[in-house]
Amino acid sequence: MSPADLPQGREGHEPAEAPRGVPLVVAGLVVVVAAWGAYTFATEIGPGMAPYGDRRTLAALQPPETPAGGGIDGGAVFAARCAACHQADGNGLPGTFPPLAGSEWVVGAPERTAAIVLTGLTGAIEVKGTSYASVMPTFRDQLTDGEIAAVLSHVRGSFGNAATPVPETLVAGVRATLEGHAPLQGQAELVQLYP
Amino acid sequence: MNGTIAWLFAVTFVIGAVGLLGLVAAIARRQFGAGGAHVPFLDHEEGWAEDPVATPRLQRVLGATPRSPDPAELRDRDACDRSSRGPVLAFVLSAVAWLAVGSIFGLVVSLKFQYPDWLTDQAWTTFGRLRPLHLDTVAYGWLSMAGMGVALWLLPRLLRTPLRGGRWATAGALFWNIGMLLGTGALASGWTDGLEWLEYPWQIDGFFVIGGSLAAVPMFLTLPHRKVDHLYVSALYIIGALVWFPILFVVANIPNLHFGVEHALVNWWFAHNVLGLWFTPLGLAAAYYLIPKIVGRPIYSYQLSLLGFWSLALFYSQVGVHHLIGGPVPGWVVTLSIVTSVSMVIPVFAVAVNHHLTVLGRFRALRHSPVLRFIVLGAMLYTAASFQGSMESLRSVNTLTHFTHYTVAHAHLGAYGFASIVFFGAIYFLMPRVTGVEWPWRPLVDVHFALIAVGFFVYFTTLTIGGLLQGQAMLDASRPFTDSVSAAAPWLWGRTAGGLLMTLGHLVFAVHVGALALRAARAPALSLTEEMT
Repeated sequence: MSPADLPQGREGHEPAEAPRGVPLVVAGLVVVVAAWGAYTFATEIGPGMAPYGDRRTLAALQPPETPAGGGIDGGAVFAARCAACHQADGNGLPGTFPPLAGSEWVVGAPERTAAIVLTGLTGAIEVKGTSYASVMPTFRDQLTDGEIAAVLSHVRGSFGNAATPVPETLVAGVRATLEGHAPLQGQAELVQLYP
Repeated sequence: MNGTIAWLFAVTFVIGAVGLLGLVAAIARRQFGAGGAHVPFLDHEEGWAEDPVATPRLQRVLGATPRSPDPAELRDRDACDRSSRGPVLAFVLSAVAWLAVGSIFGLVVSLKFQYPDWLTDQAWTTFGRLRPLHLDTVAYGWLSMAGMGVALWLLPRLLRTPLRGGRWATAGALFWNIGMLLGTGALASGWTDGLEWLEYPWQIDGFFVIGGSLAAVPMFLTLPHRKVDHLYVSALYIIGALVWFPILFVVANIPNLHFGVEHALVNWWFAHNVLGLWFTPLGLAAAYYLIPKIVGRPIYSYQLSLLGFWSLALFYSQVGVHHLIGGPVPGWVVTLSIVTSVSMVIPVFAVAVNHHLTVLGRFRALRHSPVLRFIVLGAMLYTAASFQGSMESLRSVNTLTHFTHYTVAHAHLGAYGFASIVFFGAIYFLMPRVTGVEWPWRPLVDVHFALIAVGFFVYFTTLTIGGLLQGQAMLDASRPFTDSVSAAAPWLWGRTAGGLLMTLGHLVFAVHVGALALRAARAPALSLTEEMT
């Protein structure tokens, strides 16, 4: 048989490569890509730059800083001690228990709210234009300064309130001043103590 | 543990950068000499073109003159093809069978987007099982086996010496097929490792490790006997691929070694390297061989082919982590991966210049050579898929496209548009040579091409558009999630339609290959070797 009858007989040479070198365009591309890579590394990798794949920084992953009270959960204290009367949403019960949400006392001077929590309060107090005459018990022996600072901070920062947190030292100061003090007699005594 | 893997990535990058700079310096100082131009090829053959299913006009179009082949050269070439016959047929015939099965899995999966209540009575026909069955059947059954078959056929031709130890590879095909059968049964029954691309249970993975390693044995046995001074670039790609794959597969599948975030890193390191360091080099080896072979012209530039190979080899391994953009992996590993992903434009551009400039001016040959049509279309889609992939790794693009059908379209552009279509062309070219039997019905080749080319065009464009709409809807927090579903839903019909055409094309292909194999089994193969000894 003749070689041309075979498929192999019909085909051309084995492939080769011409010695043409690297075209300038390709060399230029190498330089451009290398420069872009160096720039990307320089701007995206380094101390303080997004260390995680989703581009969050280490700071973004830290738990929110707890103000006073060193890690005590003010929300938990509120749920355990306060929510029964003032309600979980901080709106109180109309005519019976005054609201904390939007209360001018809550976002006002922190010494006053600290005093109310420490000594308790009986007698009239006007909140958001409504007068209340219920009894608020004392928490002097139930809560530490840290816990009171935490729950006050929680209330001042929740339910739409946006007042600054309360430091533990402030609560300690009020506790020392009102040592053995009877429950406050309405808003009159409160304003007199902390004008 | 997490940090260790991350540092490995960094060290790999530095070694790659240093190595590539060394290569560029060596090329600049002309240490590679004139390179491939001195590979023995017969001067009077230059300009001659061949395609087993071409029309006679091909030669005239290319301006070739008939020549009288050198009998010694022909005898060597025939001996090479005969030496690889057993393993090549074992791998290619299995691959074609798995392609048919895998395509049907894919088509059913696609139809489930239109008919979600269809085939839900049996657990194994539900989406969650058929989807990995489709992926693994086409990835490990079709692409891997076709790639190994083509590589085993190319090796003796590239080294100009008969394949040694072909039986090892034939045994490898047997092991691989056992692994495929067990793996398919395992996935169908719900037994899976549960990671994309690594679904086959590790207890079954041993068959693939043994099969893949056995397939590489003839390469190591034949290399020392090579009769060429210079390794053509296809040989580099094949050697790389056959060494890289077993390493990738073993490392990624070791049980009880990878955990948590690090497991995700290894998962995508593997999944992307299967594409870039296994399918890509095997497909490029075939394209690099067949383009100059058919158009009868040397590859445009030897130095460029070296740059293309080594930049792929040195940098590709860190690319996969761009799948974890937004995930809890160290941010600098993601950045490293994005930079290397974008750097892949270098090898891609080098390969694109080499392939397309070799064909340039001879595009008319496409009309007359179906094999060249497959190979050139595949090479073009390789360029497209790779540039698209580099872009998708950028955070801004990734935010929109990741987790949408856009990514699915992209994956098929690489694995199907490039690798599969190149393997189709290569199989059309090699089968008559290893069997000595011509293709029974040449028009079927055109039918096959038309079906898959149109089918894939429909598949890719509709899925890309649907994916972009889906991504837009998902990014807009004011729109309900279901908007992203209804935005993409009509476009998914395009996937089913395109997939149907592609599947029909594959069935035509499988019937044609089967008919040729039957003829070869009946008629003893023609051989020059027997005539002349």
